[in-house]
Amino acid sequence: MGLLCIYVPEEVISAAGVLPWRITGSWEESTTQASFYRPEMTCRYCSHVLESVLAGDLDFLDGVATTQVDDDFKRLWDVLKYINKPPFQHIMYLPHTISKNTLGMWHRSVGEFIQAMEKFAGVTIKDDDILKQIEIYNQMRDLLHRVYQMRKNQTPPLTGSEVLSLTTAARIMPKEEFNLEVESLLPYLETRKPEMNNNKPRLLLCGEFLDNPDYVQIVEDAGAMVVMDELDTGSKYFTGMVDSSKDDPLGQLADRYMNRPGLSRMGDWHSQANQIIAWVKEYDVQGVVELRQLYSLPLDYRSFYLSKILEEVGIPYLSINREYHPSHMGMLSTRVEAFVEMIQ
Amino acid sequence: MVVCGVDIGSLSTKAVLMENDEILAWCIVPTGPDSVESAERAVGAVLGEENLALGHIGYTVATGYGRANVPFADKTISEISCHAAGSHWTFPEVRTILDMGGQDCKAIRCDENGRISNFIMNDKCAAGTGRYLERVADSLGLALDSIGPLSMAAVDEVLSVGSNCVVFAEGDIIRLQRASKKTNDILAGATDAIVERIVELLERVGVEPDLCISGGVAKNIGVVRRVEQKLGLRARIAKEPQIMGALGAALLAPKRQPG
Repeated sequence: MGLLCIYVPEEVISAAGVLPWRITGSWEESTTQASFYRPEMTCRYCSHVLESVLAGDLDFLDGVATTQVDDDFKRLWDVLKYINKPPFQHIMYLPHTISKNTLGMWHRSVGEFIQAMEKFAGVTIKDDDILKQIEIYNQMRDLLHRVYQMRKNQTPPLTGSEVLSLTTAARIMPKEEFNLEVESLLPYLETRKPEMNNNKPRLLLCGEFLDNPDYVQIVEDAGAMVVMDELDTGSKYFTGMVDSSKDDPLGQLADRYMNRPGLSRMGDWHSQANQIIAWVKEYDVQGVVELRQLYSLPLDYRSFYLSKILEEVGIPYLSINREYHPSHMGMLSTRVEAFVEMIQ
Repeated sequence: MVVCGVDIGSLSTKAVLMENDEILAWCIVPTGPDSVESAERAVGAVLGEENLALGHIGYTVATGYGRANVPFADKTISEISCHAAGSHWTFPEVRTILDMGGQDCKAIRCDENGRISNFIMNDKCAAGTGRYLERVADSLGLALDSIGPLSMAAVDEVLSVGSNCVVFAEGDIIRLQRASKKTNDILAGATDAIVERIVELLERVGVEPDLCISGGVAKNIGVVRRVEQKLGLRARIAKEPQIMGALGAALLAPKRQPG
């Protein structure tokens, strides 16, 4: 089951015996086929995903599930529905603010998703199935959290691009298998001594849907250590546990997806900025680098707000545009290098 | 110790040789298709002036867009830090630097020690860079170094020339020529257009005096005077504004021991 955003409760998919697979778009420069359906100046991630779908690169998927986290995702879903590719499509309605009413709407949306998955997989999903998956997913979240804790070390055992590869694996592997792998990785990481100079500035990386580790690499090649991220494809994917008590598994599951650190598309920028500031302190970060995907309007708007807030608390902040696929790396690295030289 | 800074820009490669606090030699050569060869040529020229060989250089810092390709460099530093260092060393009162190169334009703020505190860069588009002025000169059939003074002299009316795109600006110029407009008036419009973009960039980082203008475009009096006029201040310009990046690279060589 292909996933686009990080709001679809994956536990439901796994409980139906289906493998959740977060879709990575094509890394080719051109999105010629996608441009038949989408204007150029819209979310580049969505265009690259559509390009992959049209090129047949995602033919192994049986379905796709998303929320209308923003208009671009809704428009992408419209096209997928129209061309009927992958063969099953489901969209959940995600409220963009949290209140008693909107939470009720979200709970109903999760309920409808369960019914859709039951129909799709030809199974009945019971509360116990959900509870079992909550336990497995919580274990994954805990393991990734433990890996991230090691990034607080003076010299982290993993580079930022390695961590992105790890969270990418989490989003596509069967979770039980992934958990076993990370469990055996942890002792190794505890003893691993990377050849990293710990005098380098420690950075936090923002950038929502950042899939390509090359982008993290250019930040690290500029002479910095990426020790924390605020990426949907990184920390935001696994931060926040599901309450695993047996009272109301569905409600608890739904609540977790709304209560964890939000995307810029969720209007609550104040708490997002506070979360970044808290991470900056926790991970002993000297600067924040944001690689904003082109035409991601909510992130563009948030960056104005963020630059003001971070300036007030004296945290250096660099926010620059990037494509979804690796592109203009030389231009980006000049800016990041200058930023690193500035905070050194 | 003799240190060398080499700045491989998109159009020209600059090298500066320093010992302690003194510039021994500098040169500017056109950047060829092979940036390694251009760097070797530039460094060879400054060494030749001093009758020195590569082995005499204790430390080399490379900067500019071709910085990663210099095989004999000990270190690379971004051109943003280098321009700040070079301009600040030349004029210690400088807090804002405008560097206008062949293919990019940077507005940099620095503190009293020459350390950068903020910067903004346009290298995505040729409008607002030296390339724009080259194309303007070409389409009017004039030498590059003549268009600055001409844009200032005897202007009857400032004609409107597009600033958003070099190609459109050229289209505008051709249209104005067809309409038998005066070259000076066209040039005044084209120069106003580039200055509008430059001032926009400067205002985004905030201008604090002194302002230093460096890079090849600093040699265009028409651009410089208009920037000064718009901002209401006098800019500091080095005798050779094009070598500020290479000079900064040499200054930032870690083993340089000032006298």
